[in-house]
Amino acid sequence: MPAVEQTVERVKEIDVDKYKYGFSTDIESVRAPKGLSEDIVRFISAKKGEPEWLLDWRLEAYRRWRTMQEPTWAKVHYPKIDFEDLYYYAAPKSTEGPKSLDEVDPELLRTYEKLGIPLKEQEVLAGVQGAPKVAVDAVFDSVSVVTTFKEELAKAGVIFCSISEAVKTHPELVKKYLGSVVPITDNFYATLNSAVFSDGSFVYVPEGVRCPMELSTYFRINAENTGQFERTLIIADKGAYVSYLEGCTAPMRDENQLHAAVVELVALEDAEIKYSTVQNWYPGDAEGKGGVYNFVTKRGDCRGDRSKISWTQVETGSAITWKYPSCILRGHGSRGEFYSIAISNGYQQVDSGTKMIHLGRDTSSRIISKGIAAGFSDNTYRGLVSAHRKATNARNFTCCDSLLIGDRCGAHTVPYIEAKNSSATFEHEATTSKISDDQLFYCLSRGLSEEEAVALIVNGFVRDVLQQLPMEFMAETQKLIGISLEGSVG
Amino acid sequence: MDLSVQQFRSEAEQALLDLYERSVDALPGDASVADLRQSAIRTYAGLGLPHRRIEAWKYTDLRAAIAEIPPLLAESDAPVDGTAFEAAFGKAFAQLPAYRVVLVAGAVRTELSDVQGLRDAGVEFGALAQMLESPPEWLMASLDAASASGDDVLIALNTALMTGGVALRLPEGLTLQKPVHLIHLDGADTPGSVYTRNVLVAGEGASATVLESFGTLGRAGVQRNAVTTVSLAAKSAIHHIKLQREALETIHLNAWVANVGADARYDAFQVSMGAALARNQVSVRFAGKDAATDISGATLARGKQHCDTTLVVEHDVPACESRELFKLVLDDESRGVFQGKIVVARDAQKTDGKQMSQALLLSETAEFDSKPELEIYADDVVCGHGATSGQIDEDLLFYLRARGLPEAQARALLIQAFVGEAFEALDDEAIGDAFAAVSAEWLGSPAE
Amino acid sequence: MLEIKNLHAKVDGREILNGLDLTIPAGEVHAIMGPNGSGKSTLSYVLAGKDDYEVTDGSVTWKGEDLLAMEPDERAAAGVFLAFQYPMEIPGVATMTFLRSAVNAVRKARGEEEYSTPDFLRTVKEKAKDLKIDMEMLRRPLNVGFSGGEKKRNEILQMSLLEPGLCILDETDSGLDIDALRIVADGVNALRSPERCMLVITHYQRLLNHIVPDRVHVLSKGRVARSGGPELALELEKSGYADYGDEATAA
Repeated sequence: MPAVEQTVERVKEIDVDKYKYGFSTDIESVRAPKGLSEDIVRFISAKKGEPEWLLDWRLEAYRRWRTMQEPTWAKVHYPKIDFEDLYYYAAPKSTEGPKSLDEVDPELLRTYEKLGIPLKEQEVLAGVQGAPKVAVDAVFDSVSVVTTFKEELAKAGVIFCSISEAVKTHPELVKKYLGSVVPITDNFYATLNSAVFSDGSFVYVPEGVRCPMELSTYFRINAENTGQFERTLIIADKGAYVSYLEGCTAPMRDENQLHAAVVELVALEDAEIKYSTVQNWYPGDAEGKGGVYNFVTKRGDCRGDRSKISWTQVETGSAITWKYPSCILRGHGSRGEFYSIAISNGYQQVDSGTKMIHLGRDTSSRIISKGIAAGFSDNTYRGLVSAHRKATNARNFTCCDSLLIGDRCGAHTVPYIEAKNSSATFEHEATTSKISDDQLFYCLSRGLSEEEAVALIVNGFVRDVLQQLPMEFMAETQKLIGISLEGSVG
Repeated sequence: MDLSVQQFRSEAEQALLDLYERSVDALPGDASVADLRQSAIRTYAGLGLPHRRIEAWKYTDLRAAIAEIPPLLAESDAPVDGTAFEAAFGKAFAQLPAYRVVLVAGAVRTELSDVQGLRDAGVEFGALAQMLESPPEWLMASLDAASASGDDVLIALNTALMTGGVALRLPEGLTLQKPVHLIHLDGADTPGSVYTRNVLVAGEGASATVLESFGTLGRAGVQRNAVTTVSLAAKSAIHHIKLQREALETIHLNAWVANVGADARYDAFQVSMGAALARNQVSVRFAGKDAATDISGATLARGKQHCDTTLVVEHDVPACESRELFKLVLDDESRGVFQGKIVVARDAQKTDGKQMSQALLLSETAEFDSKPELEIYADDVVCGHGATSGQIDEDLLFYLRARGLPEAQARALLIQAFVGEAFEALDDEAIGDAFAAVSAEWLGSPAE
Repeated sequence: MLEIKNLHAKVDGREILNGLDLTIPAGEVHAIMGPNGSGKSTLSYVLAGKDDYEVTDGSVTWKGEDLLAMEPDERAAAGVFLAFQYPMEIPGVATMTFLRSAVNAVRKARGEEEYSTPDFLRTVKEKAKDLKIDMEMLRRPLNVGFSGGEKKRNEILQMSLLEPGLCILDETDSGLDIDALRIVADGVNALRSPERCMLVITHYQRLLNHIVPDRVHVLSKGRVARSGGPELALELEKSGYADYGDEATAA
């Protein structure tokens, strides 16, 4: 089992008890004044040189947000957030936008280097022979700093750029699809995002095109006291295919950082979108101090017949995760998938899951969720599967497994199953257990340390989901799982 | 009295407060009971009727469902006899050998009840209304425990307004050879409300089967709120069984609350087939190690019936076992709800908890909502739940028809087999046969 | 007795039977052989009246009546019996309950008197004994946890209880060891009679050593490609189905 050996190797390499991405970068940044008001919304919009319609859209969201309450139903606890004590806009100083990589602040490039994300195309090309290309959009605090492989993608007709750029270059597409999956009235955090979103990625894959490479965005929160509100919009036109991966890190800071992103996916007829996330925001220190509040709204709309949207997520970071990547199965014969690994350690709190809303005929969905709770953490799966009156022959299979490591943590499963159609067939199963002593003993007697053994067994536990990740991220993810569980045994 | 905590109040919510005000002086009980009532009505006043924004009532909006509050049904001497039982529960049920206790408007109809038989068998038995006037310590303890459950409005209203029911204590080591059958039969020519509380206490090593059946007399609709608390001392065993076959105008609210001691066993079984709206709550709390519970049953609904079964099992101590199996058969525009929660506390190691709910939808317009929940804080546990929803398997149907069974008969056989799995929890043959008979009758009598 | 003319049938929009003709006179046993995908099982389901099998053309006449116009249970009452390749498992229904429901439903439909409980038990016991079926097995839920052999013997028990005029055996030999095969074949042979005809569907010749057919038909691409006596089965055993469009065997 090479994958397992690799894991063990990787776990050995790790320097203990350190969040590897916890460094911060000294980069001059421009910030809007603290707090939120119509003026701040106008400031952000002006800073980005946005058209009138978008400013109006933001203002409408802002006014709506003022009337809304923070949701309290999730199984997470945290001190009340003072939304007036946050910066809603921070950008590296040279925000005119680099024309090429040479113009990018070298300090910034070094940051991404440390994160192991190649922003220089030649570096990627100079890599191992036959290694797949990955186009990267790097978002630093609130602003997209660079997008690679743009030209090659353009040849295929694929648009991959920051959303600010797309507003300027493809306003008709942005106007048509922005807010069409997650409306500005959707929920507290999504509405806040609509008012103040700063940047994010935009992807459009035209009819019949199979995107020639993996697309990827790396998010990085750097500035202090700054909320990050990126907005991602991906559209796969008829018969198109795209695979997209996002990765997230943040420096170690004692205060909590707010991250409230919105991701909208639209799949038209026969299109397929595969969206993978490796979320490794700073989880806070061993005492639960600091860490990112990750309050994210992600939703995919299978708008066309036979379209398919697949979410894969590996959630290891953040102090608090509140996140339910969902699929609206509107097109007949459309399919939604959700594969999740959520690991919580220390004082992390995870409340995550999915919604599969079956509206069309012959729609199907599949949910595989693996939750691992260690330390003092709480890990909740919350999911909804519903079949509406007209969703004839809807099918769902759900499997939620939880693993507890140690007796101070909690693992919870809260599925909602709503069948309004008799021909809908739903199957849900869930189990909660601990790592079996027998397995552990077997591994130890073969010479593994307890931590290695746990990492190995956990990697086995999450295998079904790992296999859904793009090949090139699997090894990295296995390593991450090992790191996340450090200090959970003994 | 300050009852202004809740800002908005629907007419029915206000009417409940008025009902309390009007009735309070006539309600049975000494000063300590009156205090309990007072504090319970305050709890209600603060919370109002539960509605869909209250998580535990997400699929059953009581505030929207209850428009009027009819007056408390008075004790009556309406003739109740064998034919009334048969009409209410079917022959097999009416004839079950048991210590029968008939309750009308919460009052024990002694002429129809085998109270003497129970007492001869060694059971401490009393009508609740009388016992509340000077409640013995064990009864007060049970009432206090139920009140301590806090924000359960259904129970709070019951505490505030209970007019009758029975209190029944099995002394240490007593094994009852025949089941106790508590028959709740209510109704009159005009709508009425009935609030009953039954208190069951099993001493160490005692065991019994307690059957509760709910049926309708007369024509007009009843709003029923019935609570039974069960307290099981170490090594005791109670098999608690319910048949709800009330008239279609009924609103049936029922909560069973069990506290289970070490090495004790509490098994609950419920079949619901009547009422316009039914809410069945069973909550079991393990208070001693190595105890076990099995909660199973079936919902049979058609027309516009709404039936909600909500179970909570709290594993507060190590090494207990819980099993849940519910089957729902939903026809026409009926709606079945199943919520089941297993909570495993921090130190409840070696917990073994399993739960399954399965719905069979017979019509395009039936609806099934399910929320099986696991909340687990201990690591050395084996817990799981499953939920399925679907229609009759066409391949099975074809197989049966290819063997000559007409379609209707083949369907009925498959539905009965589906429900029958839950009936396996009944080890008493006579009771099992009685349930098989009432469910077969349901299957054979489609809605008009 | 059974007359199939120009039968065309579709499953999921795909044409599987494509102009099949077959006549079985009373008292005869006919075998249908053929490669995988030639339409053998489809034929059995069409004859038994399964829903998803759409007849687009042709006719099936059973004892002078239009079989295709009947519901599955009416066909059973009319004497058509299909022994399933994969008998269904039905948890919660005791095998005995099922047998009795089926037998009485069929008897009722045929205008015969329903069995009394003791009569029924006696009949089942007798027939079960011949098939080496333990009464304990009949108390278990229908086919649940039965071995392959038990399921097939249960099918033959049902066949003998329902007293059909047409017995269709769909791959009854699959999954049976030689002893089980012999028991099943003996059961079938005991039911051979001048008033009854049989259609034995099989991929292998093996079963036909035990149930010797009067005629053998080779099915290919949804129609009868060749017919002959029992010797045809032996020939196929040697040459395989290569000539009949089975790529697996041809390769």
